[in-house]
Amino acid sequence: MLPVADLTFSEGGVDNENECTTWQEWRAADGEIVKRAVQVRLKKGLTPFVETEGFS
Amino acid sequence: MANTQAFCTQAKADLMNGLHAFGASVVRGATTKDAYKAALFLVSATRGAADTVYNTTGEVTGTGYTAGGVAVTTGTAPSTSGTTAFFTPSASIVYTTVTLSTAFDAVLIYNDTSATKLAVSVHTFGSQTVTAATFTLTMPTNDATTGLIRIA
Repeated sequence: MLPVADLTFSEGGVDNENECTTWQEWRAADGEIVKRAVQVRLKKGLTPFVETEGFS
Repeated sequence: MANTQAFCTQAKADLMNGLHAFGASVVRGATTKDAYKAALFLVSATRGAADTVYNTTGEVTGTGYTAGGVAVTTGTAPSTSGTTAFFTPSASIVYTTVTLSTAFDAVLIYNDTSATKLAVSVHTFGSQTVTAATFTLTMPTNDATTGLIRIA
């Protein structure tokens, strides 16, 4: 691992209807990603509706 | 007062707790809850509703990641609100210090106690890679509106 001072740090993320995601990235001088952490927060799970039908 | 057709709300939670068997069931060795795991899958994989069991087809590989994924914490039992039953893992799903260089965008929750590793659900998110760091999947609020798995 290179000394922290030699790395370029950036961060970003997305926030939409389904998720709120953030990431942090450290790159070496040549552009190689040395470290990249990600946190994904799911905003909503699944609703597999169960329906019943009456007799007709 | 009239009769009202309905899938009884408690039965929805009971399904989640394995209390009904409309088809051939299994002999359970204990009354304890099952263990669940969460495996990550590549963008190129085709995980979805048709999945019946966990397998490694399309699963991520990389430093620090073990095939099969990590344990899901089930500290909070299924619950109901209104006419919806819901369940959400009680802790974030964390893959500690991994390198996953090929893009992935899905997690499969499956029953690790069952002999065949029965699939439960697939959840997708934006395409990601991780390098020498931790990937954290934080759960939604555990309620009838946003819970991870709901039967409404």
